[in-house]
Amino acid sequence: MNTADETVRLYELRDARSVPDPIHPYSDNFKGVPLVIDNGSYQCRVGWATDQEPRIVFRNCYAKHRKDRGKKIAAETEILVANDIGNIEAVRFQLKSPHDENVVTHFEAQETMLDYTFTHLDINTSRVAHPIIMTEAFCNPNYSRQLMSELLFECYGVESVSYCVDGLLSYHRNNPNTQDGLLINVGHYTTHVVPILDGIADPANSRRTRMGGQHLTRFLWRWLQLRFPQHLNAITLSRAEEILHAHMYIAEDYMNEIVQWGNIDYYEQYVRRIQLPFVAAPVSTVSVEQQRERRKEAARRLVELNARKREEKLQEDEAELTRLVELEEAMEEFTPDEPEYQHALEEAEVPSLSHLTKKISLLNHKIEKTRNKMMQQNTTTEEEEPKPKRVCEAVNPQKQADLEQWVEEVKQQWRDIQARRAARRHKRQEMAKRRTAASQERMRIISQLARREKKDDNFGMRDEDWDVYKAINKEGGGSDSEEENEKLQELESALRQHSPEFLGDSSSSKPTSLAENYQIQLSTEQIRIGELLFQPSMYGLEQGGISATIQYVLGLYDAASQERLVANVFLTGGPSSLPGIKSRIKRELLASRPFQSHFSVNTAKCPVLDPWYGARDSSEELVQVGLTRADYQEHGGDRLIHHKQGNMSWASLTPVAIESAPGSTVPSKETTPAPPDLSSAPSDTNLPSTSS
Amino acid sequence: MVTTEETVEEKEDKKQEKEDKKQEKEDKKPPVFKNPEFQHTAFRSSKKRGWRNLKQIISLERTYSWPDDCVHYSSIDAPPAFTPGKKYSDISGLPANYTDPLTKLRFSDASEFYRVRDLPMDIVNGLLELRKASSIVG
Repeated sequence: MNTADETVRLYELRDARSVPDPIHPYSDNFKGVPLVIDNGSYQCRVGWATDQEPRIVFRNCYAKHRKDRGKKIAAETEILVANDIGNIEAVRFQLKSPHDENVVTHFEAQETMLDYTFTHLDINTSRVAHPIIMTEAFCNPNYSRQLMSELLFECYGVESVSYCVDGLLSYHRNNPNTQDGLLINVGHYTTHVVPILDGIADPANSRRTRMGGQHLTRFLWRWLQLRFPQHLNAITLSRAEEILHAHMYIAEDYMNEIVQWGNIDYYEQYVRRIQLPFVAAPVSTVSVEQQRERRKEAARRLVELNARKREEKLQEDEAELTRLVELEEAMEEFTPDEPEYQHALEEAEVPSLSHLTKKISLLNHKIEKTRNKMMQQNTTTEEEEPKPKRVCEAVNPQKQADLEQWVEEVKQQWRDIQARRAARRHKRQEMAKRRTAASQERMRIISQLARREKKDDNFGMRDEDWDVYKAINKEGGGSDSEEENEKLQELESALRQHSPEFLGDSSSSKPTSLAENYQIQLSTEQIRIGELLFQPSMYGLEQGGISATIQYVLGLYDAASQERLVANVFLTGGPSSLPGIKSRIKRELLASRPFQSHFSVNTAKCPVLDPWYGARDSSEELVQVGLTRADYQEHGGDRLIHHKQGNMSWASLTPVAIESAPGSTVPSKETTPAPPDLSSAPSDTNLPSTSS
Repeated sequence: MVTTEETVEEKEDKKQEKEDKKQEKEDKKPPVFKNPEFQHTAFRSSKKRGWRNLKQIISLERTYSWPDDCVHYSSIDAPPAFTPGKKYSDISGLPANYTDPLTKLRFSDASEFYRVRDLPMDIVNGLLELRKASSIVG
């Protein structure tokens, strides 16, 4: 049963990769159709106003990737945009985004992203002749809006642009008939609490905290890395994001739940294990038996080879012998004076007959010897197994009788090492404090070293002199050395074999398989990460959490308006899809609202895509209130007509010279939308629009 | 004759290569829908300062005078929390009643204390960094 439970709660990582977007063919049917761009700081979603779903959804970032680094030729930079980035972790440090928090600030990056967008919509005309509906941050600075208009009108030549706020779009899509409500928009970088009365958002009483999905992901990522330092590189931001989406939830009663996690049974019941990918060590598939077989086979082959060689040699020798014997017999027939005799000697390569007989006897002897050897070989073909090598002599008992004594010795050695380690650790702690004997001794030595006069200084002549630096080392002189660690492991493995009870629990809790070494356990993290939204102090952020901000915003209204607002608390934005967030906010409201008052909490149908749907549904009205080219040329890029889904805009009272405002330098519509010399316009004066 | 033919072929190859390169260059040309002469007015290349970040934009906004009812990006920043943050153990997330004076890490019970003391310096710093408590001043 237990194992079955464990397999249920072991989760794999998907490590999804982005798929490059196709190029959607452009046709005349799209002429004049508004283009809806939800330009979020996390994702950008783009589609025509006639589409059912956004055509392109991509991470709003790109990476400049240097192709051949290190080569002498000017390195070609390759720009990977959005979904072209297959593995985002490979280019994590080169990522660039147009956004700073939730506001677009880097317009060159924005240009890259828009290029990507329009290219994938296959726009083949000399300008983007469409009205654009684009989202922007709530209370977006005029400066940012101005530059966005400049980019859209002058670089792409769009027809008009309508700015709206993502959260408000989502609100009005989900609440077409409810005029009052409190919008809570949890974004990637920020969380907004926006009161809406009579369908109109009240920016003056809205508040924003700098806490969003991005912070949750980063916190989880860093925390897991610190919690499991051995998997530092395996825990990536994208994996943290995946874990966040799959396993995190928001506790309804955080304090109560977190205390429960301290209970070991609760932990065992609810802990989730994530299996990190790992490469199995190259385990040879051959068994020990097979290995032995193979070794035997090789040995046999070697023996055979030797035998064959020996046999060949033997045959050669025998042939030689018969030749020599024949020669000898022939020589006996002749006298030494005869030429045949001399001839025979030459043939046998010997100076005299006696030498020849000697040679024959030697050869005989040799043949005899070889034959004997071969006989022996045949009788003992079955070689004995080579004795297994002893891994380490020191930690294996020499004899069975000495075992007990030996185990005691090993135990003593183990204790010694542990004691040495503890002493070092203690010293290190002592050193860190100021008023301890250890650190005072250290200071004394240091001052002594400093005082030593130059003249008769023979410091360093003896090797022991240098030990003084070990003594004053803050680490306490020498850390747990590699050698010592190895020894300790050796001893422990020996002890585990011979007296398993000695090491106690430490050996039993050892992971049994390699896969288990690559698992990370999620316990309190499951609720702790989502809790950041409610307790940003856990992240070191001074601002209050969602519920504190709600309370603060409500406090800005009279009781009647408060009632109207809390009657419809509306949650939207990516992280608001964390399970449990709705009941948590209900609970918080119940705690803070007066006794027996009414409120309701609702969530968006699709927290991520609703802004886009909302903009598409009301695209006609939005285009009506958009900033047209004529408006842009007349008033500049930050002038807004206020509508229920958009920001209000204020013009600065600071008078600005008309010549320097970029809007005024734009030429008429007929020409290509290129200002002849825009770069001469001073940049600093872009922010305020000309006040009327 | 043969050699000349070869050279001709080679030349053609080179021509093709050149054309390929040209095509590549054309591919890298700005897309048709863009105005080729467009230049960002706000990019401060001369001062080598690039784009204004959000902080600079906000402070720039402050330097102008605005109508009284105007709401800025910076004016909707949420106030600091009115209640002190609860303290949780840095190593387990459980509610923590104690702080180790040496490492400044929070812990919830004695067993955690020993774990805290055994942590290497980089982990300790990382944990403090996580709740932005690693600065010497704080």
